Amino acid sequence: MFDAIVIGSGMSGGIAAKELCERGLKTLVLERGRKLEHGGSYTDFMQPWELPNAGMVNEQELERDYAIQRQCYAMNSATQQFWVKDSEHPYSVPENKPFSWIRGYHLGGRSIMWGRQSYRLAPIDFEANAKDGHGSDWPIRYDDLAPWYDHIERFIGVSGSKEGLSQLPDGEFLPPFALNDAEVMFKQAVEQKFPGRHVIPGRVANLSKAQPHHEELGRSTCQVRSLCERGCTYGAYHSSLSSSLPAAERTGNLTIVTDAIVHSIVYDPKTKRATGVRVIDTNTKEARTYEAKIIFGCASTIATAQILLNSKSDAQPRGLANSSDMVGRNLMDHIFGLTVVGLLPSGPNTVYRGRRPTGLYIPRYRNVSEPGAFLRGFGYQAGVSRMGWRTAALATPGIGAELKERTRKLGPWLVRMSGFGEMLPNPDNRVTLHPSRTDNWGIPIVHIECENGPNEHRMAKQIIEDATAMVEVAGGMVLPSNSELGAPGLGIHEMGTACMGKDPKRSVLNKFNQAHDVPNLFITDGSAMASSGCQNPSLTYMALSARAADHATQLLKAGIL
Amino acid sequence: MVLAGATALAPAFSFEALAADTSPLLLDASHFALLSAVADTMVPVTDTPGAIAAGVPRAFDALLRNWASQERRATLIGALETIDSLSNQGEKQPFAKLSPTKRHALLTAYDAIALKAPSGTTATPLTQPPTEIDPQHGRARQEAPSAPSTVTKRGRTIYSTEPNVVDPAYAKLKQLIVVLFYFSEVGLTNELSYAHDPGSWDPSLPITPHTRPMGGPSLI
Repeated sequence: MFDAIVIGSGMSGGIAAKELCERGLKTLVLERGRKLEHGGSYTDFMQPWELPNAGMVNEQELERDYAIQRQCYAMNSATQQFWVKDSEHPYSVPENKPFSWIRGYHLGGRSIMWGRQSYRLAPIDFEANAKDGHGSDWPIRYDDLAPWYDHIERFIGVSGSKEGLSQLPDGEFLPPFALNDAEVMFKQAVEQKFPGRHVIPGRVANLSKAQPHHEELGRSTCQVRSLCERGCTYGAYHSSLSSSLPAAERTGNLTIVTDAIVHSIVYDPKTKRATGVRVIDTNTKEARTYEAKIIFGCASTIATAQILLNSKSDAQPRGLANSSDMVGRNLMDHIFGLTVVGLLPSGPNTVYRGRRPTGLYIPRYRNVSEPGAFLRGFGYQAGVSRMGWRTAALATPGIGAELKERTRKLGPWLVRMSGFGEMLPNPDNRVTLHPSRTDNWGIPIVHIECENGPNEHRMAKQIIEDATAMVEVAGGMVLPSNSELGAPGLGIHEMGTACMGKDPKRSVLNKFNQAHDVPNLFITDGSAMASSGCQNPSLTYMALSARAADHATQLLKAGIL
Repeated sequence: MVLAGATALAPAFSFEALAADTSPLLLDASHFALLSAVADTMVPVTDTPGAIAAGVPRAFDALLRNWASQERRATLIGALETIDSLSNQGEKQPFAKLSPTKRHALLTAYDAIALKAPSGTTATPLTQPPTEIDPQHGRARQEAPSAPSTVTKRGRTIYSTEPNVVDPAYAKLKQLIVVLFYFSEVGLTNELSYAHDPGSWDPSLPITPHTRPMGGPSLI
């Protein structure tokens, strides 16, 4: 019998485990994938000429096993081991409603390959549902979470600049990765022409300057390599392997079991509590049950919905913690794939050194300082850099000495802007269990039905128009690029399937991420999100996880749980 | 270390790896000679070493074995054979037997024709920016092409696929040879600048006569 079981070892599970262990709870972390070793499982040592197949995954394997995962920019022969084989882990979608579920099953989950962008939600984000009536009103406001954002930022290490913006609150930052000269020029042009828009260094969970509490865990300062998604032997970015699980481990309270797929959560109708977790061994397919006083669901939003729905019982026939019928509903991502690229012929006559692990960020301004013909808003991740050698060598005809000569020349400045927009919570965007198909372990596969609505399409149009205007104001020539909304899922920010809320009839979790129906069950991954904001969400999942772990421990110690 | 199967480790193409690789070539001797001649013509020795010194032909053969699908393999070999047949027609000799000057003249002429946009379409002035770029550093997905390309729809996701040119097989052949060269230690050392561990970020440096573009994978 453990004090706590944490389902999932990724971004949220790692932090939940750390916080519970640090409060003295004997904690079991269950991970469905295989064990990875920090350092030993990484491929960041590979020089370009050591990359298997020059970085390309075998075409036949790509076609057969990675139909969905291949859509992710970070998928290559050096990271192939970190992505699931879609052929082994199927899910279904309706015809004409694609959803790209990008994921990795191993210790640390997607915290190994994440984009590391770390932004706080703002007061307006927590108020949005109440204001326009979409989704469940958040049972917390910014001030409830602010100290936990501080706590997480300090622990994981976030580099960034203080800007004093109400729509993107400042945090406890390490020094920012500064803008390069072309980005400074871009910033000046945009901010002068469009008051209220801000061009700031991207806030990123890379240690621009490791602090003693990072070094204690064996982490060190970022070497500016941008090999992050291969795993970082320096531990320079936060992941479960480099950071949260080692912190949990040093308390002596942590047990990790890998290769254990959670089938369902066991519920006792007499005590009205969850008593344990049923797992199936990934390799032997043997079934086991682990018991604990409290359970944390951190499996990621789609998997958490799957587990809850698959935990139905006579007492909870719609699935565990689902008396509201909200489990699986309100699936959101950030609208994504909207990119504008431009040449900046008038850029400064300088260059930069290093491969900075971030770019620049333009916080939301629509429905903040400028109106929008839609609800909510969007932000941009962007960057200005010298055009790369590939384009110099290959974009135009020519071979031989001429090709070598032109490829040696420093390329012109190129600006790239990608919008990330808030998707409204919509109960019809949902995860259900497939009525007949099961996976290799006999568990019903998920059926994902999710599409962008009119608000998202109006926002998408504005994202492209605004980015085009900003590139042009900086003197840029806009090049043809993608202006169509990508399939939901590709933002890899899926969330919302067990929303927090004030009303147990319309939400799954209370203000401490505690299931309304099952008091010793806490869900702290992306499922808990009542709305998505437009900011990259991992920081919020971690802050919610830490806050819920603190509360759960208090309830346990007070004898309430 | 956990890696996905033995194929995931092969083939790197450092000189050590190439020297240690005793597996038989996929291409027969005449095709390998043709490939070597094409690679040497595309990236010749100048004041710096070219594709041969970088080990490109052997690395390309390894790609045919370990990366390419059956269809891709046939297409790439077909692209080599197209060049040879042009040589046999025009010069009455296999391409590999031509003098470097004649090889350069023949391939330059074909390169210009092959990389034109097909009639009725327009090539973009630059690489078609691939959809799935990493916005932080503009890194393309692995299969993103580096030549002007078509955009097709699969569901609602837009993919850049094969180069939108008169001879896409030739464009792919050229892309692989050139990329292998610039990924090689020889190419990176002599032509570009590459530091595996830069150590720090310097956002502003003056350009000097020694400034070279940054090398490395996945930069558009």
